[in-house]
Parts: sequence; C-alpha cells; structure tokens
Amino acid sequence: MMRTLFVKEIREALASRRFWVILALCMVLIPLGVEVSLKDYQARLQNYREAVRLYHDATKKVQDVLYVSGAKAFAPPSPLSFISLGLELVLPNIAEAPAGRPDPPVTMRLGNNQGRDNLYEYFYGPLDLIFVVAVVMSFLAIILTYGAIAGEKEQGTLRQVLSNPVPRAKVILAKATANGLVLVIPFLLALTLSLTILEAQGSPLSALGGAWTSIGLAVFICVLFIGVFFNLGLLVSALTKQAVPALVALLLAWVFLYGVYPRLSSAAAQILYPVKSEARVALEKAQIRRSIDKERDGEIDLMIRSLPDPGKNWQSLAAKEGMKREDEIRKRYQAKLEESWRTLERDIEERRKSSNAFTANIARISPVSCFIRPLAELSRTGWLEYEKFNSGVRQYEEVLNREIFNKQDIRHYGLTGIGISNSADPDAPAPVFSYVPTPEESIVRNVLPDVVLLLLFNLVFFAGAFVAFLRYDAR
Amino acid sequence: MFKVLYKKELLENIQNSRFLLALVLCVVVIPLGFYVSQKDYSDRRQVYDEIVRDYSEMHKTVGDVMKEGGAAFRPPAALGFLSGGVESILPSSVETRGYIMGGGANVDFNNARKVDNSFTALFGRLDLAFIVSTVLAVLVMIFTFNAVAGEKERRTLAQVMANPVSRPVAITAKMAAGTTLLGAAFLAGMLAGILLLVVLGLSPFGRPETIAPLAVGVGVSLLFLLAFYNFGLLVSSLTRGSITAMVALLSFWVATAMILPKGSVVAAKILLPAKSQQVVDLEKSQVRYQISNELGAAIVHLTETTPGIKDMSTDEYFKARRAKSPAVEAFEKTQGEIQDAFKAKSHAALDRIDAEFDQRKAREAALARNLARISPVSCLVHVLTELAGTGFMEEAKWRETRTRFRQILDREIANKQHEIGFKDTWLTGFDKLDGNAAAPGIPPEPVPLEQALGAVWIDIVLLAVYAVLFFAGTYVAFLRYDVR
Repeated sequence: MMRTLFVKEIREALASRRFWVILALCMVLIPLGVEVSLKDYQARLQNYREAVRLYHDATKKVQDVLYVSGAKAFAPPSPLSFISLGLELVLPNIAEAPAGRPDPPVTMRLGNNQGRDNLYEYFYGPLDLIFVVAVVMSFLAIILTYGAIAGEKEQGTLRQVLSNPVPRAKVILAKATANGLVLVIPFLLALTLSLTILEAQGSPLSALGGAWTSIGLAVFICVLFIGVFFNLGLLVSALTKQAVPALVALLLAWVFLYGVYPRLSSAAAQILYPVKSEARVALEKAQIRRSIDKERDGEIDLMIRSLPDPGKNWQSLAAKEGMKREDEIRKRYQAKLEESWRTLERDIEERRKSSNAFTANIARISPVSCFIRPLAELSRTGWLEYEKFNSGVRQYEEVLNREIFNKQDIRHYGLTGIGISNSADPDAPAPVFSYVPTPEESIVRNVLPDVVLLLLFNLVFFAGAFVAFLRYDAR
Repeated sequence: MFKVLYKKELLENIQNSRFLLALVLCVVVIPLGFYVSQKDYSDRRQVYDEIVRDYSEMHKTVGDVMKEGGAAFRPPAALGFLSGGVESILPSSVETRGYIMGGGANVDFNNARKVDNSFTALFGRLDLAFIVSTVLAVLVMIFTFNAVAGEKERRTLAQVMANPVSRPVAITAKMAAGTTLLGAAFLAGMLAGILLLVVLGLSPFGRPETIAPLAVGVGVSLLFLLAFYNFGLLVSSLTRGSITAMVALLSFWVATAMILPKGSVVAAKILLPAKSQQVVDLEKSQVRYQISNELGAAIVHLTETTPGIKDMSTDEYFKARRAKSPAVEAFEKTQGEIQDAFKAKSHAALDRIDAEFDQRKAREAALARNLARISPVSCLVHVLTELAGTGFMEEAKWRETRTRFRQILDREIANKQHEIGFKDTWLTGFDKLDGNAAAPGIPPEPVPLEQALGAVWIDIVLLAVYAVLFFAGTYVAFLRYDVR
C-alpha cells in the first residue's frame, strides 16, 4: 500500500515538472555559487599570500620589527567559505603592532580590510551555499508543499483517496517521503556535482586537512534545514482548506523566520545583554594607561626630587641611584598596567562570550538561526575562528613583548634628559606568527545543539502535520 | 466609473483582510526596526562623543598631535535605520601614530567596531531598506498575485467585462486602489516608527539635516512599492492561475532581489579584477622604505663628496654649524633640496599607487552597481543607503578625508620640521614649528543631500521607469485578455 502511494506521489511530482524545475535550479545555482565562491576565495588567498610574502620579505630581523614594518599576524581566508562566507569580511584577519618603538606592553590592533576590498559583496551579500539553501531551497520547499494536502482538499482528490481503505498515516508518510526526495535529491546531486568540480580543479580543501567531517555535517544541516521548511509546509497545508491561504501563510512564516526574527533577536539580545563595544574598551584602556602613567610619573618626580641633584653628571652616585629606583618604579607600574588591562580584557571576553551564548539561544527559536550560525562555524568563518585567531594573536603579542618591546628602556636621567634604547638583539630573527586552525572537534561540539534543535523542529512540524492530517474531516 | 471601480477594489482588499495584514505588519515591524537601529545608534553615538571629547582633551596643541598622533573620527550615521549599508565596515576614524616626523604623516583607517554585533553581521539588520525590499515586497505579492489571475480563475473578470466598463479604467482602478492601501499601511508604519522614536527620546530628527533625506527615503520607498505592485499586476495579467502568478512572482523576486545583485558583483570581479587593500598598503610601505633608503644613500654621497664637509668629524660639523659656517649652510641647503626632491618623489609614487588602486576599484564598483540596477530592489537599496550616509559616498568621503588629513598634518607639522643628516647623526629642526599652536584637525562633514542624490538620481529615475514600464505592460496584457 505504502509503495503504491509512494510511487503515485513520485509520478505526480515528476509529471508536474516540479522535480525538473527544482533539479534545473539546483544544477544551475549550486555549482555556480560554489564556483564563484571558489574564485573569490582564490583571489583572497592570493592576496593573503602576497601580503604575507611582502611582510616576511621586509621583516626578517628584530630591528625590522622595531624600525621598519612592526609586527603583523595574518589569518588565511577559509577554503570552506563557499559554504558560508559568514563573518569573513567583518571579523579581524590581520593584527598589527606598530614600528617605531611603541611603549610597552604593546597591544596588537586587530583589523580587516577585506571589507573595503569587497564592499559591494558585503553590501549585496555573497552567493554562497547558505544563501542558496536559506532562500532558494526554503522557497522551493514551500512551493512543493503548500498544495500537497490543501490542494488535494480543494480539488476533492483527497476525499476520493480517503474513501478507499487506505490508512491515513500511510498517505501522509508517502506524501512526505516522496516530496521530500523530490526536493532533496536534486540538491544532493547538484552539491555532489559541485564538489566533484571542486576536486577536479585541485581542491583547496587540503589546507584544512580534508575537512570532510565539516562538509558532511554542513550538508546534513542543510538537509535538516530544507526538511524544516518542508515539514512546516506540510503542517500548514494540512491545517488549511485551500492552497492559496496555505501559500500566503507559508510566505508570511518565511518572512518572519528568515527576515524578521533572527534580525530582531540579535538586536534584542544586544539591548537585554549589552556588552561594551570595542571602541569603548579601547577608550577605557587608553584612559587606564594615562592615569597609571600619570601616577607613575608623579612618583618618579617625587623620588628624583628626594635625591641630591646630579646636575649633568649621569655617572654620579645620585644619578645611578635615581636610575635604579626609577627602573623599579617603572617595572612596578608596568605590571600594574598589564594587570588592569588583563582584568578589563578578561571581563569583556567573558561578558562577550556569555552575551554570544545568550544571543545564540534567543535566536535559536527560528530554525534559520540554527542553520546560519553553525554553517558559518563549520566553514571557519564564524565566531570560533575569530576566538582562535584572537588567542593566537594574544600569545604572539606576549612573545613580542617578552622578546622585543619589553626590552625597551626609557630613562629620564633625572630632570635633565631622556634616553630611549632597546636591548633586544637587533639581528636576532623576528618572531613569526603561526596560524593554527580551529580544531574540528570543538566546532562540531559547538554546533551540536543546533543540529539537535533542527531535528526537533523537523519532528515537531511533521508530527503536527501528521496529527492535523489524521484529524481532517473529509466531509 | 473609475471612482466606482476604485471604491470596489478598496473595499474588496479591506474585506479580505489583506489590508489589515499589511497594516499590522507595517505597524509592528517598522517601529521595531526603527527602535533597534536607533538604540544601537544612540549607544554608538555616546561612545563616539566620549572618544571625541577624550581626544580633544588630550590633543590641544600641535605638539600633542605630533607626539601622540592625530585622528579624525567618523560619527555614526544618524539615519542608519533607513539602511545599515556598509557602515559596519567603514572606518571609525582615520588616524596617524605618534611622532610625526619630517618624512610626512602616515594616515591609516581604523575600524574599531568589527567584533561588535557579530550576530547582526551574520543575520543582517532590520532596517527600512530590508523591510521595504523584503517584508513589503512579500506583501505586494500577496496583494497582487490573484488581483487579475484570481478574477480570471473565478470568472468574475468575465462578468465585469460583460458590462460597459472600459478596460483601462478597470486596470487603473485596481492599481490605484492596491497601491493606496499598501502606501497607507506603509505610511502608518513609518508614522508609528517615528512617533515611537520621539516618545523614547531616540529621535534623530532634532538635527535639521535628517528631515529631508527621510522624506526622500519615504518617497522613494513608495515609488518602489508602486513599481513592484505594477510588476505583480503584470504577472497576474499574464497568467491564468493565481498559483502560477505567485510562483512566477516569487521567482522573479528571488532572482532580482537576491541573485542578480550578487551576480553583478561576481561579474564585475571577474571582468575587472583588482588587488587587495592589504597588498596595496604593503606595497606602499615598501616604496616608502625604499625611497627613504635611497634618500639616506644620497645624503651619505653628498656628505662624502662635498669639499670642506667630507673631512669633518661630527663634533666639528656641529661646531661649524653653530658658528654659521657658509660651507655648512650651503651643504644644508643642498641637502634640503635633495630631501624635498625625495619627499616629492615619495608622495608622487604613493599617490600613483593609491590613484591606480582607487581607479580600478571605482571601475569595478561602477560595473557592479550598473549591472545590479537591472533590479528595482537594488535601485531602492542604493538610494536608501546613500540617504542614510552608510553607503559608497560615505566610504569615498572617508578616503578623501584620509588624504586631506594627511595633507593638513604634513602642512602643519611635517613640513615645518627639517631634518639634517650628517654621517650617522640626524638632527631634527623644529624652528618653524609652533608646538603650542592649536591642534590641526578635521571636523566631520556629512555627505550633503545634493551630493548623495547626485549619485543615486539614476536609481530614482530607473524606479520611475520600471513603474511606468510595468504598468504599461499590465495595461497591454489586460487589454489583450481574451475573456472567452
């Protein structure tokens, strides 16, 4: 029985050309999107390599860091950005410490000027897989399902079917599986084709050691997401009596779930759980530095005044004693400054982390959010990637401060003069930043709740459609 | 006759609760979008004000700017609720690091708000451009998909046509009634949004420069609604079933609102590839380094070949300098000329790199923009973004500000120093520099409305053309409709 119904549904879908339209759309859009994203990635990669080469050519020794180019750390573009470009154009991909003997401790400034390079891409959005699935496939799911039940009710065919000795459960199961396959098979076919082309062109994925787990999980999430809209379509179709209201209701649901809710949730979370902005943190750090510097200079001044005036004789005992004490005071205040900055940064990082978790949880009410964020994470273009880069930069910064910048001596020689010197070996090789990608396990762990939620959405919507269909009054 | 049909259409749309749906959506979504955008703006504005205050307290004189480095800050866009545009990747300031020396100031962009709101960057903003181009576009589809096709299906159109009703009047009445209702719902939403902002004290309208762009933005949004409504009617007139009309409309919307603009960027990038800013910056720093090495070599050469100077020790040189020896004065004059020549060379080389890069980027951008204009949605978003001051004019403005700021710092600080090199010693002379003079700076100037309109007038004209064209198409399709 189930088989007959399944074959009937499949035949109907094939005869109504829906399958062919979906197949054609998938076959055009998905390979096109992947190809375009790949080209874009290659351009970014080339620029990244060129930037790294230019920097390393100019920065071989410690003296180059100090006097020529400063220190820089680069994050490479993600080869998986064809799945989701995510935050790649927004989050930092370069960290810089200035040349010209900056005051220690030096904080590397994070930046990203890919945004400027890709201004229009940022403006209109990329043609990545996430877009094709979130917009095109979800619409196709809606178009495929709105009339699946409501249409049959309207035409009276459902009544005819149900007047036969057919269990209702089997009818809806056959409908769901047949139409689901009609939707998912073209998608998977197109995706396989795209990945094959990608491999044939000399896949860039080797940079991530294959990353097939991530790709597999991303595809699974895509299928789950398409399933959510598919089952939602069935549910609405089962609840309405006519196809047109079903379509209108589904369109409105799409607008809310895709367009309105995720956008509102991130803004609402920001209002409910505000985190200091980067600009404010930078301002507070500068203010802390100034107030500590002022305190320190006051203490040095007092100390110098308490000693006999050495005149211009910097070799005198008094001058030597002054320099020694000044050194101690400077070290003490430097430690204090580092501690205050660290506390501020730690607080901000913690708050940002919990605020992100809060936002993610609020956003998860919409399946669209459960889809967009994990795919960005799996593509290495999300927040985890930023955190990884940021922690790498902080470690690099410690090395730079320890080996170069903290070796700077600023001596005021009492009230008579200033001397700036750096005792680091100028010819020693410059410390090099090495980029470490985010481990796959931590990404998978991070996206699991979303996968479970997507499964749950599928279950709930399908169960709803199932119950509504069973309760349908055929009269 | 028109009046009767117009009234009938109005009543029909009101009775079948579509108008109510549009009204509720507009009155809820528009104020919500306004509120979250303005709340974000007011928080950023507060930080901006604090930063500017802090900066001006710490940078009162030329000496402060020379030592600490100078900056010009970009205020957040007060009308960001119209369209977030590219604001989050625009620089928050242009700045130079401390110790501006005779070689010239090195002004960079800084963007300090990249890691803020990562979710907003991922999910997008609920600004007016999005609301009109997505939420209202879907409403337009719901209004129009069965406006003609539905009447064909139900055969009511045949009945209407059997009466002595002129077809042009019938279709015009349909268009007028639908757009009146949608326009009314949109305006009600706008009014509710503005009122909410005023009540909550988040209104940006205290600044007179915000009223005109808002009014133009509302007008252009209405024009877009008209164009898209006419397109809906066109599709509905061309199809026989309302479901077919809806599917066609949806496909058109996805294609024009989403795929076409994205495709235009791809096409532009493939046709006119450009280097990245990062590579250009590094090339510039290499040029700078190379020219400064060449300058060093030229000065060493001059020192070693100038008779009377080449045999002096450093101590003797500075002694002779204090004694105003003519040989030293002539040597320093020649050296000054060499330095000026190298400075000019360096500026010319750097400006050439910048100009070439800017030109390539501008060509790429113009191509992407023009291709995207095939879509009415892109036209709308272009206009709203430029009006909001979060678009490409603003970006160009800040590139220009960077150049201007560098020129000001060069004029006020770098060019007033002169450096003299002798063997391994460099001496910087500040005798022309008044360290206590007021600090040089650039107050922020928003892109004037005329200039913004100058960049987007074509989009507005195109929207009007689309509206007329689509209506003309509907008109013809409706006139040719065979009732049988």
